[in-house]
Amino acid sequence: MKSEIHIELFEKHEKVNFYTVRFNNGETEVDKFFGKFPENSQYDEDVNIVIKWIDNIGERGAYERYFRREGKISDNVMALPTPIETSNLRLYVIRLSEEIVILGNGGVKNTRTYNEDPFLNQCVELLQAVDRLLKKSISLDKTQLFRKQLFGVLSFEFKKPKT
Amino acid sequence: MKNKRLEERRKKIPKEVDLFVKHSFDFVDRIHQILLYQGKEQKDLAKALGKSESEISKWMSGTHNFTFKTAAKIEAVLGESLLQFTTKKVEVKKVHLIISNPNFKLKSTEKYSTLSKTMSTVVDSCKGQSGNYLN
Repeated sequence: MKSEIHIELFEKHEKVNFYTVRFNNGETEVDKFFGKFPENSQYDEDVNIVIKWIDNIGERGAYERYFRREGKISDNVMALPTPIETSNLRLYVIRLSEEIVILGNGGVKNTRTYNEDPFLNQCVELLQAVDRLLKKSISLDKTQLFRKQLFGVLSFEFKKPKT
Repeated sequence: MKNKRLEERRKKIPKEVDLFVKHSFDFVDRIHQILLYQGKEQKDLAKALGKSESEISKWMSGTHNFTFKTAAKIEAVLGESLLQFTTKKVEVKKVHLIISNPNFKLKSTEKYSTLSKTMSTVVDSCKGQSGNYLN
């Protein structure tokens, strides 16, 4: 089934702009993530750490060392934060540059690798596909990166991975 | 531009979480800065500590909960200080107490009690002042 995906701005910070992905007119991927862990859930502390992580990256810059590579060597898909003490909560992202990060969806990782969890695997595959589409569009100069901003084509036709 | 839902949650994040993440980032940024200055890489630190590169990579992400013991080991192998503690004295805020009863006097036996010490401080700080302040 073909869908349309849109890359849109989520939050502007001092040194980094955070974007996210929206399918057709649905909820954005990062909204789905935070919606799954409402206040007073058992993952409150982890979600708070993720939010503060976003704030600190936004203030310091999206340096590669702050991220954990989760996809393939050839893509920019990363996870944040790395295993924290209380749980294995993961938010998957695309780190496009030191100034642009695209936030996706994620969840609690209870398996050794993300591939073993169908849902987390889908989150990573989706971002891998977005990363491929963006790279192609950037190489054709249809999409441009300038400092913290993405310009040009930010909507793509997309074949949604099977769940 | 900030997301409304996240902004609502940010307001409720405990100060301790805020400080934990900030200090963690400061700590790994300091390690990174020292490694850069010494012309070393994360793999050199891993080797010196007898750890795997992937473990050091996890540490450097900014959310690792370092123990003092680990911090001391890193300081020892890098030969540089990572943590700085303040020795600044804690300031005691002066409080001006208004006693509405003009006949109020401290009993001499209370002089050395905690309450009297507090009161004595108040009396000292108010010396020479008139009006309703204790003279």
